[in-house]
Amino acid sequence: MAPNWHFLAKDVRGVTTARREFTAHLRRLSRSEANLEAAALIFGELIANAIKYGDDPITATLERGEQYARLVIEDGGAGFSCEHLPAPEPTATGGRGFAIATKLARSIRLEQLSDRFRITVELPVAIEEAHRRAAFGEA
Amino acid sequence: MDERSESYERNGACVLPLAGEFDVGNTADLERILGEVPDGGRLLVIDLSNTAYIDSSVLAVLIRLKRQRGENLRLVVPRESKVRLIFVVSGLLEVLGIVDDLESALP
Repeated sequence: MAPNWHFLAKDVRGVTTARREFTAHLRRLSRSEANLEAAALIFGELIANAIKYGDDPITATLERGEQYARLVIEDGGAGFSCEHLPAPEPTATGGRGFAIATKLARSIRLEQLSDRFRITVELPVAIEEAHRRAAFGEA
Repeated sequence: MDERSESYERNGACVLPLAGEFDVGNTADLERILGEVPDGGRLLVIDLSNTAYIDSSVLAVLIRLKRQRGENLRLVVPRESKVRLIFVVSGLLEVLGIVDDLESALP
């Protein structure tokens, strides 16, 4: 089963522990330490946004990808589109989280589904093939 | 957060090392630590050499502090630091006047 985490809207207390667990999973799966810090930032920023601005239920799942690890975050809110997110000013104190994640991710896809909002991120962390089969229960 | 986040005096400046992880879950603790640092118009040097993680909520705190203190705030973020990345991707290295080592930050 793919590693996953659950959060409550407006409750940021679980973010730190979840990020540590997420990073530990990736460290075991990846070929190197490269970009683990970037992946941790992506996870932390996008989960914080979902908790602050989204609605329950909020979930994060670390999925297998073709070559790179994939993070899927879902919440029950109305979501947003990139068009409505202006680039933050240099000294702005808000609105940086998604911009940071966008710069660090290989790709980010936003989807408004019938009952939830989904963000799918291809992380900049390549997965070791043998580890992927073991971690995700593949034969 | 880490209990070693205690300030000390050096070359007439107040140095505050921040050890551990700071994120949206404990930003209030960080603001409390910063609020306990004596002002007195002196230079405040926040040393992030041993900081393992910060997120954008911490950047917001540091930006607000920079507005308040201006030239009386310097940040130390070594090139090999784990938290250097977020300052780079946010374009804040120059905005916040970040230096690579403590000696460069002190008067």
